[in-house]
Amino acid sequence: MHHYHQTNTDGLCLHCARETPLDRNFCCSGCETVFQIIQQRGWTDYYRLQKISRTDMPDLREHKRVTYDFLESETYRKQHLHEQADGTFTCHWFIDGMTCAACVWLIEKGLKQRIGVHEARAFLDRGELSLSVDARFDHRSAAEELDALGYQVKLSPHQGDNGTQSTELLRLGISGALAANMMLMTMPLYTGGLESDAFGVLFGGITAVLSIPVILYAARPFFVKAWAGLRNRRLSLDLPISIGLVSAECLSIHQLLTRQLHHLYFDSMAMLVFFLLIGRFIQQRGVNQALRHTRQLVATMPQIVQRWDGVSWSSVTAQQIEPGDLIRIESGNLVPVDGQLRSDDAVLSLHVVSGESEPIHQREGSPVPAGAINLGCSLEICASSRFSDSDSERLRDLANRLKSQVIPASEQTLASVFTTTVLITALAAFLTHLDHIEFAFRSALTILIVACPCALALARPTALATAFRQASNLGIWVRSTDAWRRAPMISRVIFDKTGVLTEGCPGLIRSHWLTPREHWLKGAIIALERDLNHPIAQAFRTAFAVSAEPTSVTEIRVTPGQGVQGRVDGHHVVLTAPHACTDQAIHAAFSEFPTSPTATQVLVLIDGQPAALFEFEDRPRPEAPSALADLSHMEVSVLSGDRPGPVQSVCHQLGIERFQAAMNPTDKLQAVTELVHTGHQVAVIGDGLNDMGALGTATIGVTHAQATEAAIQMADVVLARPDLRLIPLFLELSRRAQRATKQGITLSLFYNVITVFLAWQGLIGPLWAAILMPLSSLSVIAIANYTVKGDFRWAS
Amino acid sequence: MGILIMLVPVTLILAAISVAAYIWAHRNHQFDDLDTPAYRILFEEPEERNENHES
Repeated sequence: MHHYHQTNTDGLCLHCARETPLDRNFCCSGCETVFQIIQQRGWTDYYRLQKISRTDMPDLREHKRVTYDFLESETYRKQHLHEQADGTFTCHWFIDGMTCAACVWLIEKGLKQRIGVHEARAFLDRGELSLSVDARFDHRSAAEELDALGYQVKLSPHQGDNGTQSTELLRLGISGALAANMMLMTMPLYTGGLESDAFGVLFGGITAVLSIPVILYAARPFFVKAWAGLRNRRLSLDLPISIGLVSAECLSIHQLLTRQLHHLYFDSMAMLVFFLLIGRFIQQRGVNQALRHTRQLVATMPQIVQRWDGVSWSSVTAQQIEPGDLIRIESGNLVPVDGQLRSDDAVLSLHVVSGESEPIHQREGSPVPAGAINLGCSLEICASSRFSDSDSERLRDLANRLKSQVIPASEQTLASVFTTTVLITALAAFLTHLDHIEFAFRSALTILIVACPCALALARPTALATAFRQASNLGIWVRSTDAWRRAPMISRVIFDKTGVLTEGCPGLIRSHWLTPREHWLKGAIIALERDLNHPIAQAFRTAFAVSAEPTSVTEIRVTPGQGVQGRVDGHHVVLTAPHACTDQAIHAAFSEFPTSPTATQVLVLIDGQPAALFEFEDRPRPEAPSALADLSHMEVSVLSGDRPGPVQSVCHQLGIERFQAAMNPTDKLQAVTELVHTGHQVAVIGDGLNDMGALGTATIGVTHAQATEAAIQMADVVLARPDLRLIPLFLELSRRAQRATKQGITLSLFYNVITVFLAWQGLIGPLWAAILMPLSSLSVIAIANYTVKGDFRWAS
Repeated sequence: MGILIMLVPVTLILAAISVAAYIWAHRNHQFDDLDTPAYRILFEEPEERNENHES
């Protein structure tokens, strides 16, 4: 046992500060490892920073170790290292798990101490690391050290620029500064008494000059979008905005030239541009954040496999594999292409391919699908496809095509109706005053300005921006604004079983002991299973890690598909599947225990004598019942690729009546497509390759951060953690965002009708218009905040 | 009212300076990362120079 200066005195893990029983210092072995590294290197300042910044630490129990062979390959050097003029190289990495100031400090500190590093800079909001290094820098060992500290290194596909967002910020800042100054300059005009004065013309002239950069530079995006809409024969909300802005500018210039100083709208126009840009900026930030998160999730280290080139094994990337190549897949790795097994036998997990929860055993010559995970020893397969034309890639294409047919382009009806109404009203005002052409122009332009849908255009962006922010805080990443529009219509929720409703891996549900030496046996089992990748081995490690007594094992022997045996303290310990044990006496000894037909059993023998029986089952997630209760007003069903037995058992436990088992990916895709075509609005929650098609065609596809890369790429919504309660939360948020949009639109329509009426009658002065316009915008923002956020925590 | 002859240009110059400063900061990539620098202030020790790269 290790001894530290500190011990757990307040019930919190020494590393990640999660709740941990007082008799243990760490919540998991991952935290213990990282804590040791930090102590050894003397980087304990990390914990001081951690206390100050107080963000959620990444859960190291979810941390998957990755191999970084790729960082030594020629492909990496060519594609990801950029040589600078001074001979150094820059590269960009994504760092998964960087969540707080302490992480930034630790990562930069660790890297700056390495040989060959000139500069290391972490960007918290983008989850990126920018490195400037010379030829002596060892990329692989640096990545491995970060991995050991609990951060997964991934390759960033681009140089980390966010140019568009940055330009938006420039437009926003300039319009804001100018609008405020213009308001200041217009103030003397509002108070009146300056109309005939030279000062009046001076102030009017200054605001006119200041308005030029606003209309020519800051407001450009509106004109561009309005024009693009017109070219596609679509009336977008940007059109009345553009017309309003241009009319305000033209009318004001005309008024200034004719010395009618009480009808200048330069400042209102600039304020409007400023408010509109704020709305769009926040909304775009929400989308960008979600996209960045998901881009980071799907970014992976390209897989390196060993290929036989006739003489020896050489390293190639998965993309370089050709059909007919003999490749070797190490234990625990993903099979990158379809192929045929060349090793004697293999244990594979098809969890991500078909949703099947139990590992399968294949003999030489049988097919191995891409996406299978090798659970046994390293195996050799003969590739029969390329990386890109494996089944999973074809399914992805199919789903993409289907999706584009099913989902209509974003509706623009409200914008069109509003635009047409405003244009017709303005035209009517113009025509009724035709006898006095100048007055006709002015009344038409005034209507265009006053009816300019400032609040209307703000309603949806602010509601969405608030929803995006709220969702992001909860750990829900929504990848498009359109998903928010579709989500409130959902009436059916379809779950995948393995990994979504259940933990995705077997957990120990019952132990039956025949030996009194429980403590010793637990230690022996941990020792035997320590280095195995098999799900059962992991389940044993999770179950016994705390209580086991460390011990060592010799003569360890693994029989794929059957079990493992070895010698511990002179005793011969065998862990075996019941079907691999032929001794009837042993079966008889265990027969007194009631066992579940859907569970996986493991028998333990000590020196040939029955010692214990363990039962494993993929259990429903603990939060599943409460999540399903929140979805009780929806039709909930399960489509699973797993065998009927386990599916029925899980659905029965959770009280789900509609379920279908043994569905292959195409079955799932068809079932969902049929529902969508018959007018149902379906949310699909899945995480495997087999769910990809269904996720793509569903109204809303939801997956979680630990899901297969392909599923994440297909999904509209990605949950930061596989917590089912986030699904009803997301649906509730989307309904609130919709309600906030409607309220905002109602309010601004109401405002528009009143002001257009008053303007028509000439009852409204410029001072009131200037006060009312930002006021209505602010009230729309307030509504969005109140409705979307409101008592959200309480409601959830 | 005569004071305005002086005040108005002063206001405009101040406004111009602040907008120019904003554009400069923007060009200088100071708005590229809005979160991390706020935390960097917590790092107590001065950023030490890396000794091991060639001069």
